[in-house]
Amino acid sequence: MTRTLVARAMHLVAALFVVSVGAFALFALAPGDPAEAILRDRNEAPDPAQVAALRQELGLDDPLAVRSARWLVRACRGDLGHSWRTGAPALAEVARRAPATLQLAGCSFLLVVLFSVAAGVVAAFNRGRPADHVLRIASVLTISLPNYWLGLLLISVVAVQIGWLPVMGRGSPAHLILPALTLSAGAAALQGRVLRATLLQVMAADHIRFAQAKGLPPRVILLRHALPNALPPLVTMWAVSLGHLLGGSVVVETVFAWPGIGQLTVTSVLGRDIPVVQAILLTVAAVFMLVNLAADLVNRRIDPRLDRSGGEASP
Amino acid sequence: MIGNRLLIVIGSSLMLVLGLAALAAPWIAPHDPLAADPALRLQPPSPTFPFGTDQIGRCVLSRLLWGARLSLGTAAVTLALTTLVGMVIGLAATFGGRFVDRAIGVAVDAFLALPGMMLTMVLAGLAGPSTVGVVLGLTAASWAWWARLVRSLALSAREQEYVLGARAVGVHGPRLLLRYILPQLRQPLLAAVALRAGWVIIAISALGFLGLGIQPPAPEWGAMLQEARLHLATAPWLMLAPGVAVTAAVLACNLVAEGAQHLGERPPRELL
Repeated sequence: MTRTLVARAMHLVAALFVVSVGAFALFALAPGDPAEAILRDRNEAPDPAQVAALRQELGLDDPLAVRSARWLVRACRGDLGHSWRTGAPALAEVARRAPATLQLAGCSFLLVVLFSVAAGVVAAFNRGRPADHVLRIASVLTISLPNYWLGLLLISVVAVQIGWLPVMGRGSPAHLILPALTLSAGAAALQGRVLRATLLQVMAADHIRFAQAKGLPPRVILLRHALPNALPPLVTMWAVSLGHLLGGSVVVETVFAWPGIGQLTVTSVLGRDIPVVQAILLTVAAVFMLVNLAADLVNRRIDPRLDRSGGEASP
Repeated sequence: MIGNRLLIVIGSSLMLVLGLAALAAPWIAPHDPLAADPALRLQPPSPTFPFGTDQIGRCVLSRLLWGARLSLGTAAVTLALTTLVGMVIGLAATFGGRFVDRAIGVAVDAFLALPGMMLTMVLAGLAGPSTVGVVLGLTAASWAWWARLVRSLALSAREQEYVLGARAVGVHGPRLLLRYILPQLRQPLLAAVALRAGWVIIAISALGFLGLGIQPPAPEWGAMLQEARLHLATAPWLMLAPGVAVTAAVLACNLVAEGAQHLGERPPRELL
């Protein structure tokens, strides 16, 4: 257990290192002179002397090796540089936006769990019957809806035409409803399908047949005997769904003017604010990897067999 | 489950219709997709303009049809490039020896440590914003998914008995790859292409919508939705048409993928 844990942690650090090297490489990817871009953002005329002075100040004229080494050393100390647009520390910019995204992602996550478990259980329970087919078609449709368009539709119908909920922005709990619904729809549909498949797989096991032979009612078999055994893949899936939600938040936050990390990503990319983009990528990667590691550990608690076989926690 | 074949038929017919519309756009579009006429701005649907006109008086239907060319064409190029890159890297990991495999493994893990959509937005946005930027950004963001899939498929293909037999009698190099390994990968890779196609179409239009992808005035569906957004209350038809188009294209791919998935082998879905 400890050995696998240490190995996983080492692997995590290695991957995070590669992410940070990649993040540094973004400097090269962004065309144009950052010094010029900064000056333009500050609404100052970029005359050559000023550009040269700023390049000196940012250390842009040093050799690439020196720059990357300096960047890595600072990154290890938690200093990812300053935003080129606002001048604030890049990590502080991310931290300032984090609560809004956590709130949105957290609520969406609850909706995903609720809807996917309901849909998966109902579909598996009614396998081959009309409810199963309806759910199948409904999920394929939901997965096919681009989330920004779903958001626009919801805004247009619920907020503008009927006027039940606020159009956009963040504030009261009512502001949260439409973005959370938009963000969770696709992931919920996808996971409902996966849960259905997992449940059907579990239902084919011997202990289920025994429970059936014993004469237990189907509902009890499904909820007490099948669902707990479908839990480990479900936990893995929930961890992955965090990636869906964070990735989707880039789009959904923009649609709903939700002041979170997703919106910050778009404005930073559009404004070529590389330090903030780097800070976002590193933070999100670290969070995502830790959540996956946590899911793995939880699975080993739920199902000790995973530990003995030394296998990965996926089905 | 009944209807797997039906789903595939419906999905591929929808794909065919959209593909034909895209190819025939220059002949069937009633107007020039870029010709603006301020006198005709925000017209509701009428016989002359079946889907109405947009905020500077361009024909929405014509833009939609030309947009099919742009959106679906970009998606096709992206898919082809990503599959190719992923295959080369995945096969290199399988046959390139232990060190290459390890190095590729770490890179793949690093790329998969980030939510695909977020990485795509960042890479495509910084590389572009343009059509080439979209293709390169999407490829750079999703090669890892393909490399991992190809590696796992090739690893199991390599251990098949007839492959072991061929190697035992001295078949190696390109011949082993082309005659013995690749034919085994064709089926699962095609299923994976159908599965990813919908995602790629959504990503391209989302990039256009966010202003990080194909730029206006090009009639890209996502960019059209972004422009329509400002006229949500006064001209709702502007928002419906491109949205339905994107959904139809994605639905076509997903129907095929859903049907194919339950017909035979099931490709890994967890990274979608």
